[in-house]
Amino acid sequence: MDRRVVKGFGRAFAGALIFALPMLMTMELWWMGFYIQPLKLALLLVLTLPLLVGLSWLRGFEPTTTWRENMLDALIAIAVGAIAAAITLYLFGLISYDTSLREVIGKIALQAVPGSMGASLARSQLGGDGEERERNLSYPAILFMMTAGALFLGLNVAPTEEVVALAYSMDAWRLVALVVISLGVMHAFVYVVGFRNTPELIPGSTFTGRFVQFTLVGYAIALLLSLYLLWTFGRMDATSAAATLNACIVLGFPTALGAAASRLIL
Amino acid sequence: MAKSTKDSSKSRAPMVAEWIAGGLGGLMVIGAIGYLIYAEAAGGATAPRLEFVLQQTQQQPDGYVVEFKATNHSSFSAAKVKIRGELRSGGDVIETTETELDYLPAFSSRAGGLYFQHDPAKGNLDIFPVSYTDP
Repeated sequence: MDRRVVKGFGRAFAGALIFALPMLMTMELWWMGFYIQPLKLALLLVLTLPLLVGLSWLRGFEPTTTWRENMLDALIAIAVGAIAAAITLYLFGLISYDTSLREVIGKIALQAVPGSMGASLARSQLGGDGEERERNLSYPAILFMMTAGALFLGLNVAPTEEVVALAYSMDAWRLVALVVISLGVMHAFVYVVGFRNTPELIPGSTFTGRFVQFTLVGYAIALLLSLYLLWTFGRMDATSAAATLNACIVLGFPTALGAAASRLIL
Repeated sequence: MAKSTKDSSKSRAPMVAEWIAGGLGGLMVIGAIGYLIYAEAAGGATAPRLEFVLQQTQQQPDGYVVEFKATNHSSFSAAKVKIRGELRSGGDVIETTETELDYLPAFSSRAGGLYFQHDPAKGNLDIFPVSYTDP
């Protein structure tokens, strides 16, 4: 077999583990595997596919990469993510031969989402050896990248009890401060490490222009993604709108960071 | 190094191993989604249906431990399942012990044990659930 292919799979497994281990070692995610609503998990899996296709496209080294190749990349990433998750869960004793099918599929499918993201990112670096291709990204591509970065950090935090606990215990001015700090830190990221390959988008590049175009829009993405994750993990069930908003702001902190730093993470 | 991108994985045709892995990934996604839709359709239970099976009793220096296996026969996952064991002799309750399972997922089993001072073999032992919460 081609050495590059073997190396590619090796990297993919390593990437899957690096991305998924924090989730693989979180109790709430083991439990979520069996009590998440099946349709919500199915939807998460369906949405993961275009995410992986997009990631493969983003990291593609050749502009000629076809849609079919990106689709194949996405499916390989899912296979690697799922296998890495299954092996780790079995090793931890969280699934075994007498575990019910519902629990096994739930646990593996949930963990395969971050795992496949890691696999996709690690594999697509193959052959790039130190030289990252700098590509000018379109505005929608940047927003997509922000979404992926937000999802990556959000997935780690959203299922935990801590988000809801903080949402209940933080008082109003702390939550407002968190919004301000989320925006501030986000803007610093956008400005410093940010999306520097897109100067043509903002001629003149005023502070306000950048703030609205990247930071505010990015924060909106982070909040909406937080809402989606809270809904997926059943954190909105029988919860008041106000409590949900608080939870979104709390979860919005890591997702905003993920969105702003997506250039570094992804 | 300027043209190193030529060696990248994207510039060559996918290998057989990659088609196989991709096909496997596709099957996994379709299988998982299919199963989850089936699970949703087949589900709908609003309360767990629990069954307890006594596994074995061990004599220990200061009493007896009765191992049991709890099975949830419904599509409803239960949390904080409180379990009570009552040892009766001739209609009187001699001894009562309790334990709690953090989770008893849908169609799954979990094992546990109850400690008794008296020999359970010399009476009638009943193990039954007391309460649960919706996770």
